[in-house]
Amino acid sequence: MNETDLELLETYLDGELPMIEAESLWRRLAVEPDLSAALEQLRTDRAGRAVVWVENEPDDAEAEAVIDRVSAAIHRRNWIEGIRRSLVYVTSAAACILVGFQIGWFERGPTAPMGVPGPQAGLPVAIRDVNNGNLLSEPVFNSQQEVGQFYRDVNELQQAAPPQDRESSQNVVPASDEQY
Amino acid sequence: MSQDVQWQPSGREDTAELFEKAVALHSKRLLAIARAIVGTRASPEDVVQQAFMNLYQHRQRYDWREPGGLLRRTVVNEALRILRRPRDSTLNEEISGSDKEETPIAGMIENETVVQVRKAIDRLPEHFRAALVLCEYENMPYVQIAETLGASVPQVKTWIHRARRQLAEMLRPYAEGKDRRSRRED
Repeated sequence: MNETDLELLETYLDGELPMIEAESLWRRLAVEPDLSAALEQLRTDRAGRAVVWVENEPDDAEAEAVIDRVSAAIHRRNWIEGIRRSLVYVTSAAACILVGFQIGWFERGPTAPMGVPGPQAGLPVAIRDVNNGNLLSEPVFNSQQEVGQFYRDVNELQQAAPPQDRESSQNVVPASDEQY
Repeated sequence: MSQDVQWQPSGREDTAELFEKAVALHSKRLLAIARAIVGTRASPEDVVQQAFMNLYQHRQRYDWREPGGLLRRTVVNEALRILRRPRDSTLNEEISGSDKEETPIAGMIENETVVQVRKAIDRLPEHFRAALVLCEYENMPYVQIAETLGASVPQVKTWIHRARRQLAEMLRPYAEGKDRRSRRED
């Protein structure tokens, strides 16, 4: 029996043979005993495999066990997803708050030392030498931005001063609590 | 005959509910398919569970009113993926070992022919076996098998034909021995 005929018979048994070819095959089966015998052998082989396929079928208990496993895995996954989502929300909120504080800090600029009320815009500020109390200047700042800029300028001057002078220059600080 | 088990969704069920119903209705058949494809080389329960979890992860993408074809395709692909990964010899010994524990009792009851056929099927290349299972167990048409396996129809026909030829070759010594035994008894 050649491979072409075997393949033809298998396609016929699979129900995939077009009607015209099936009719042609029936005519051949009627007059070719070898072909009929081969068809019967293929049917027998197929029946043997069918027993194996049926034996592969699980019973209800096995199917239930798989269903339970899948359900447990789904619940576990949902629980982990919930925790992950909560963590994302918390860290996102914390990041937003942190960014907000950073923006606010940069916008305000350096301010007077903690506990010391800063100078107010529109009022003259007395700037005195800390060592002897002499009045050095009385600038009037028109806005809080100008106040902030003044402090930045003082800081820059102090940083730029030679090390030996830095200590004395740091004594020149605005007496920010003196206002009238 | 393969049957796609269906129910009538009420329209108020959400995707998660439809998914769980699909699991309940199709698990038995999918387990049989997985078992036929992976044989003793992997755990069919693991295959089915992983296939379901893969689908669950993207459940919103699919229509769960008629999930039969989707589930079958996913289980077959997962079974083939597991068969193609590098073999874990420890795992294979465990699966084979558990088989051997059952053999002393099962072997007395089970038909020797079935045992021989099952062993021969286990030795087929995985895509041959998958095509044969879908053709003979699921009674799927060639076109659907090709879609499930991501192959062409002529390729599927070739795989099925070669699988059957290889099985016939592997079982010939057993069949001839059986014939001789039956003639001697006569």
